[in-house]
Amino acid sequence: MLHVLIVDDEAPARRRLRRLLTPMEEAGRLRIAGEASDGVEALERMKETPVDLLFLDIQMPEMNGFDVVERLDPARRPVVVFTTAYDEYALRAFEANAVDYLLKPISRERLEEAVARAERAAERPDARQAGDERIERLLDWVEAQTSARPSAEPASGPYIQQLSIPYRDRILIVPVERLVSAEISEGIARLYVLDEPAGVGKPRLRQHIVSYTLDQLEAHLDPSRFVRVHRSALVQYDHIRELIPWFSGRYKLLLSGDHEVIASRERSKMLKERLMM
Amino acid sequence: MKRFLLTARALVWLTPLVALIPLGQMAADWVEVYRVTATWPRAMPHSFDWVAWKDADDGIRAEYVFPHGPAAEAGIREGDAFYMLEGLQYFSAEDLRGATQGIEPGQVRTYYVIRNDEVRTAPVRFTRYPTFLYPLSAALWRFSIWGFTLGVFFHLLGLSIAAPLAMRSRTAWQPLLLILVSSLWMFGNLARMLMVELFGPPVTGSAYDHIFQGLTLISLAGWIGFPVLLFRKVLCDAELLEDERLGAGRAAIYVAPLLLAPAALITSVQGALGPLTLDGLLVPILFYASCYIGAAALLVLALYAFEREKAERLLWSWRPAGAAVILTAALFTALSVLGVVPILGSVTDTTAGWLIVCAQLLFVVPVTLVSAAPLRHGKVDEVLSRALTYLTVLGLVFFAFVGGMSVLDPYLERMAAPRHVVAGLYVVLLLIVFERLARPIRAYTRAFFVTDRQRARKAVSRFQEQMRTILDHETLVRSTIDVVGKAYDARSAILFIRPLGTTGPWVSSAYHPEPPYLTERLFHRIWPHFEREGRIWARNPELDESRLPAELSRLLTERGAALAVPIMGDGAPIGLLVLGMKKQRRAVYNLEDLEQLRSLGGQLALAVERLNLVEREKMLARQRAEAQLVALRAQINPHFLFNALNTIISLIEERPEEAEAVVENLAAIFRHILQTSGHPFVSLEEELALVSHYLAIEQARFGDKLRVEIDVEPEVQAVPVPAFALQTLVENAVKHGIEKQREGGRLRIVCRRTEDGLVEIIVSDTGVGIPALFDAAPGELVPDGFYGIGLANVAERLEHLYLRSDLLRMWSRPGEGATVRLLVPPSRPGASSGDGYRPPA
Repeated sequence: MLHVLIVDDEAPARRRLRRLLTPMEEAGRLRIAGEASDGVEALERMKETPVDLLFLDIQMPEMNGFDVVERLDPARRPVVVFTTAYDEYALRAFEANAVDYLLKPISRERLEEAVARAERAAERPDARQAGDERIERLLDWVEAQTSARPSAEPASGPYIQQLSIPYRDRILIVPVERLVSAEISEGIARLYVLDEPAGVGKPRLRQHIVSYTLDQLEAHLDPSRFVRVHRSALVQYDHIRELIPWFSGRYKLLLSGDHEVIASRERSKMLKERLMM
Repeated sequence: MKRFLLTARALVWLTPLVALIPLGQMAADWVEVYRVTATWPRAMPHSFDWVAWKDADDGIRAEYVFPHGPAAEAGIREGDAFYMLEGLQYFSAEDLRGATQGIEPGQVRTYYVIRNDEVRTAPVRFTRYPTFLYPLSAALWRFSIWGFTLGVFFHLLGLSIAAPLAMRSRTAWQPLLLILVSSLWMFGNLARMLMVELFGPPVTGSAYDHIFQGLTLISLAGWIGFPVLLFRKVLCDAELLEDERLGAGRAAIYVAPLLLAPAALITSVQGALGPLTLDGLLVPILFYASCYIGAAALLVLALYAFEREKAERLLWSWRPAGAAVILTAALFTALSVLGVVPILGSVTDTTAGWLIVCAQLLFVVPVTLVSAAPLRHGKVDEVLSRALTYLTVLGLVFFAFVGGMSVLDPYLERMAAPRHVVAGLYVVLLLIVFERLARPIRAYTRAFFVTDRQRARKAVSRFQEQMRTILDHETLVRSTIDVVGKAYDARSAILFIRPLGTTGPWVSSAYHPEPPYLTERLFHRIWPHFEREGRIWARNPELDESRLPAELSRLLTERGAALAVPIMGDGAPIGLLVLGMKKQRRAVYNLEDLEQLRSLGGQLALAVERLNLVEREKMLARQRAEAQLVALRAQINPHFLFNALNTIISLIEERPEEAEAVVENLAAIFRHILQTSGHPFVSLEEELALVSHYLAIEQARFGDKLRVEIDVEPEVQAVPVPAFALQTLVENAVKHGIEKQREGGRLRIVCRRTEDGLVEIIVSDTGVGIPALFDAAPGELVPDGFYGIGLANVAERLEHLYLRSDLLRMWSRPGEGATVRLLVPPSRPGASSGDGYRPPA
């Protein structure tokens, strides 16, 4: 019996998929473990309950489908079936890497095939491994596609000690010590900054949208303190709490404020050397 | 008028009669001789020995012996004292000259002269006396040469101004003819003098003598011709020549020259006509010239005395003072010739020669006076500056040559170098140097002559360079007329241009319009003529080259126009530049102005054509934008379509009513797309309907994550807006602002009229914002390639439709989302017919 999670930011789409899956649920082939309306929620759900089959929408706020897959624990990773209405880029990614996907509106037949394949993968480890490799290739492909620009020229002279972050009608001045990571997704760059440790309890993580690119930011930050662990993520060494080995030589970084970032394969190697592991 | 007419009538009848008095006297003398001796007197041409004898304390001395002359060849040198001629002694130069005059040309007579206390004999072969030349003393001879050289120079100037003018207008023919005829006199005499100076006096009967006699005849033709032409010209200028009341008097003035001319011809060919010789004609011709020139001056004075205003208008270049001087000189000469003032009898021949030469030169002055009025329309500045340059350069060459050669000569003699070769090389060197010098000197003289006209030329050429920076027809026409009006100091000026050819609208602009106006209605009356003919009309006949009917010409004159220059486009005129009189009294337009204006017209036509091209280019771009829009509409956004279908299919079972609503909205959107295709504009109401259908579908997809507020002033509902512009802005805000935020956001649309009459459409959202704009100044557009070609497309279309780039503005601040403001001007400029706004059904 497969445990299924439906991830889509459109409520009608989630309901429709659930309705299509209901007959199979009644037949005892699967059980709908829940729904999530975006990537963040999906990750939280999967932390709580293990899932075997994930129906994952591509276009979602803050974290798209690819970002979600990247952050999944490879050991416990379910079979992923991407869903999209019309996204040329995603379709190209799927076709290039022979990854399973469903086009919305989803037809019953295609859904049936996808579920059947997931059942086979759950039973046979070799099929499962083939699926994993395909997902991995997909992630490499996506990473290679995103922001393949050469990084900005390294800034000479002193590195910045404070960050200016526009916020509403003000500009916040934040010491770089509190910058946990900077990430870019769907063209939007976000800074994850720790709140000032006021009072007791764990400091909270805040995110800010900024106009500069990661390349620009990296050029102005001290390379001995910040590291680009991924094309789409820059983190501060001091805020790395845990290094969790991920599949195919990658690491998942657990940062202050329970924030997670996946390091790319090549950067993971660098990290390892740097931290003398 | 009456008194003036009487004076004129008296003058035209009396002058020829008076002018013939000397001929009558001579005839009477001959008859007297015949009565006494029963034979007609016979006369021979005068002879000359080509020595200027002068009375000295110790007898007669040879003051100047003409080089190559018979006396020089016979061995007489300057300074020799006269002793005897053929054994006869004479005691004054005057007597000697009288004795030699009667000797037949070609005869040889022996002079006895004393040099260094030795008596020498010199057999001199006498030649014919050069008629109207005065080789009587060295000083007089030099004076004649220089005087006539100066005269020739002025005549050349006059000719070079008059000739181009005469090619355009009949009015300039008269002054040209006058100058031509008097140049015959000047050129002929100067040529004869130079021939004598360079090649020596002609030996009677030789080919050289024939040429010399031919030149004599030509100069005589000029000398006889120009006084009568001058008189005629003054009559013409005083508007008397066409006056019937003058009657046959107009023909009578030709009597005297018509009698004198054949006499001169026959005597110079045959040598003598009975008792009449060419030399004998000297007195009648001189007297006739004095009479006619005096009469002309008198006529001018009379006009000034009786009708001052008319005189100033018609004869402004010949003032009464000048006329009085000429009249006095003429009277004095005439009376001297007649012997009333007994000056010619009591003074020596040499003094008489001086008087005659002076009179001859002075009589040429009125030619300048009467020609100046029409000639000021010619290229005066250019000719003057050119003349000054040549004068300077040639003068420098002359002095450099003379000075250089005198320095070189001693060396050459010492080295026994061939003098001619060195001199030739030196001339070549000088010519090369001055060929280089002539250009800067010319530039300098131009600057020296910085007249108003040259300033105008400069202003206009500067403007011609600036023309390319002007971007529309109105500005072009306005600045052209301002520059031209100011440059030429016109009282008023107006320019009409039809930029788009024969069917297009007129664009016009006026400089200092002052009554009487050349109104548009009047302009349309004269325009067909100019359009057909394409020639310049001018109030002054010297410049006029058009064949404008008299009535239209009068119309233009009455409206204060002085010049009408058609702007020649590609083949046919596309406009007309009309200039009023110049502000300064007596200042007139001349040929240089005309040429400048013509070239300005050409430049203007080019500029108009260039603007037309630009305009066409813009129109094409607009059409391209409209075609793009059609293509945009035809291509349905696949994201939107599939998402909508997915939404419908999701709702169809659980919430069929909602699914139906989405289908209805989708249908409405497709209907809108199909209905409005081909129209670049829809009413704001229609566009808002489209937007609400779209938003309804999006809300069905995202539920309460998308909250919408629409606030539209009712009065702007019907305003035409570019199709799909608002829709694109809304779609962008939803897709890139609100849907990228986990908690969703609010969309707000405000449409209202601004204070300056534009319609303002504001689309604001509380989405993630546009990071690229966080640091940008408020109102900047998105940098290229941030999101979607949708916005860039809208901006480009707006620019093509309204020719303004400030209509679309965006702001974005972190945490506050983004705001887009679209301004819609009240009407679309340059809308081509057929694709305009379609009112809502």
